[in-house]
Amino acid sequence: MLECDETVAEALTSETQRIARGLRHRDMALLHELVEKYHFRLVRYLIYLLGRREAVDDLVQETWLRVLERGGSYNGRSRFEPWLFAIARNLTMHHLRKRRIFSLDSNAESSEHSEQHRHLAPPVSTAPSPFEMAARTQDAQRLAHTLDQLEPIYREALVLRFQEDLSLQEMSTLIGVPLTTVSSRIYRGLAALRIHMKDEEHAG
Amino acid sequence: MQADLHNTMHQLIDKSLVGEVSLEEQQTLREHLAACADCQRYASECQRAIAALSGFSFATDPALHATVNAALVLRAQQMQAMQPDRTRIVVVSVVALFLTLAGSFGAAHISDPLAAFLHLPAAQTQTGLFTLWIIPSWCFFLLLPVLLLISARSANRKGQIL
Repeated sequence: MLECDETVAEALTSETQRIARGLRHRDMALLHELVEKYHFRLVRYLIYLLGRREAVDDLVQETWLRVLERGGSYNGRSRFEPWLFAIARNLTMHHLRKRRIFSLDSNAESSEHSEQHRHLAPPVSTAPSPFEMAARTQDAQRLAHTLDQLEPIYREALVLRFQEDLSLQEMSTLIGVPLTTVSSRIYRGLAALRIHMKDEEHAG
Repeated sequence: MQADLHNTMHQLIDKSLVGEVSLEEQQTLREHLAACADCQRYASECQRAIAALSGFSFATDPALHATVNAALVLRAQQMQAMQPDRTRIVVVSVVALFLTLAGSFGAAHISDPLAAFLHLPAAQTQTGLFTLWIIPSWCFFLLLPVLLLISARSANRKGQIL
């Protein structure tokens, strides 16, 4: 078992080193490979972060351009995904600040310490949310509305932990908050989903 | 008392789902879950909520993929064009070195005739030439490649956020 873990770790390291080397040399074949591999995951992360579809395509493109321009700063000592998502996150923050919709960080503070800034959440639209449109199972349909209403910081915590399988440490570095805050966001997000799912089930 | 135990176990279940639970806590949780229907239900609800997250299939625009790749190629070409041309830097540096050496050599040789022409002490004229001609020309020569690199880098970073 230990040998197996070591083999996996070695394979991962050689893969991240290959990516780091390729990005340093601006290897276009590698970049196209990465776009292919991470395209869906990047789109999904941005939808969870923004809670809507608009601007996602532009942010995806901007993210990959930043990867090309700043590829030299990826050292290959950690996984590629958190580094990629950190770029996407920074661009999203910049986009939101530019459009003055809301700040994810100030929103994080407000939602964790007070209820008075709830109005900072993204504007409510009558069109079906990306979650409602993407729900493929009955349980997902039950969750779609909750995810739509959930604060972006909790949605982000959920997707990073349970969909992207990032460790708490990786999430802490990516989001730029302490480990305890990361855990707390996951617990709260999970609690909201569980309670709502239970209610919907009872209502149905 | 029983409610407290359930609350503690619910917290442990949450911790185990997040991946923060120790081996000892895992064992305690396993033993409790084997005997407690309420906590089993709680754990199953949490698992179902997590599993439901995989039930979303976000459609991606097939054209976006091609657009991203095309944008990457274009940007790479632009960056390549903005890269400092090494050959050009070497040629410019060699020419500057030649001119600096020739200028220094010339300045050293004209100091005596110049001193005689201006009726100044030879040492003073030499110091003047050294300070006003030779040192600035060497400084300019040494700065040249650095300036070229700085200008190329700033062009590369133009418009970047991160």
